[in-house]
Amino acid sequence: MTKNEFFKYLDKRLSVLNEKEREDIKSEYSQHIHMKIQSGKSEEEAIRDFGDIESFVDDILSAYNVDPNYRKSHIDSDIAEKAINNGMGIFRKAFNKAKAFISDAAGFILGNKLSTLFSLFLKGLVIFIIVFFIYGLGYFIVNYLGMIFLRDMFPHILGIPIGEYLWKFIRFIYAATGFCVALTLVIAYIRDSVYKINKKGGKKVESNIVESEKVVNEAVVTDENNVKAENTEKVKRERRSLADYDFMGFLLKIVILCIRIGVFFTLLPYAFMMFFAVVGFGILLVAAFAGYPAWGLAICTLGFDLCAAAVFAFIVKLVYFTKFGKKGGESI
Amino acid sequence: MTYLNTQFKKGVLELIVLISVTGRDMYGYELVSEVSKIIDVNEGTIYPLLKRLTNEHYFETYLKESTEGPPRKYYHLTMAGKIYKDNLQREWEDFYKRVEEFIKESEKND
Repeated sequence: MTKNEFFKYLDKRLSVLNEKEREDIKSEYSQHIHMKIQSGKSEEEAIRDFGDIESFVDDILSAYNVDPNYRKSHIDSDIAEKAINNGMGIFRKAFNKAKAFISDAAGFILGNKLSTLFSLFLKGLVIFIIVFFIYGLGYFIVNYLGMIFLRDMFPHILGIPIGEYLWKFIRFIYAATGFCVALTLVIAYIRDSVYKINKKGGKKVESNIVESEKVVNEAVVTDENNVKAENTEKVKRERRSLADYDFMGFLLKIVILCIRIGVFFTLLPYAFMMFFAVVGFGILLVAAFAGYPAWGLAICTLGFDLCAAAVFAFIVKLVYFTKFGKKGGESI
Repeated sequence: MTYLNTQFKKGVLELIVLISVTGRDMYGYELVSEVSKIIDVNEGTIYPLLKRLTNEHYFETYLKESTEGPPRKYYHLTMAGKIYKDNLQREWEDFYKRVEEFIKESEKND
């Protein structure tokens, strides 16, 4: 966890306290982290040494006689922001690890400059493949269901082939939404990288790129004789941290992320279907009052709306709001 | 691997924190370092404890400039804090004595 993530968590959990108290608490931890860094530890290590964060934040709230469980599960109400942040975090971690390994191997074979480009290319390719298949799956479902329900089952209303148009319209909306989501992800990722580059004072170092890369850049500047020694040293350090990474939790996070992305795209057509069912209900109501025998259909449509809304709400809560993973760990 | 559970250590932690500050005022990081030498707890749990003791007026805090960065918050034991600490210490000594005696008794009977 970085200092920023830690502080964001504190801000959310301690939002019930007044600002002065919150800032005071944050500054104490900030000073502690600062002194830890001075004595040689990294920011992440210093925060890890704090121990179970959720539990001591509970203690902070208790110190003010606030129930620690107050709004604990509501600290994040923005699904998209959460999904994107988690997605970005997981993708970044996953690709850093893969990239580190590839960089080492490729660097050995190809020479250092080429390996950077090669691993960047590989990274982009894998992201593209994953997104393409998940998105494609969603699109396939939208297309197929739309075809059945809209084009074939309700082809004509009042003489106009509305079904056909609706089907095409939904496909377009789906494509546009998917494109916007992808664009947002890319922009967020670039903005993140740029922020990190700027933080480094303009040095041409993407902090996404892992330690072994950094050493390559620095080695060019420093004494040529020490290059090999530094290179192997840093590579060894990376391998050690890879070994004690929690793979099961990591795998679990990836699976859950895939499920969430898949469900998101799959639910979109249903969301549209519900919307049009509401519209349909309105139309049928009007028709019924105008004398057409549409009361039965109107009631059916209303029933469909209510059931769909309930199912929808249940699925969304299950997939996006349930906390997976062990208690006290980072909530997914 | 330790066998004493966290709750137990948390209970004793309060006493250790109070005793550490008796001799001289200390700031957060300094206090955490001192306490960590005596008892092995997660560092994050000490700050909430300091907060609680301050809210209960056993500690007073003040800021003092430092040459190495932003001003540091120092913790000072109040009169009420001293009394609380003495009571805690007495209870601990009593508790410790009883447990020791009990252990000695049961070892005799082995």
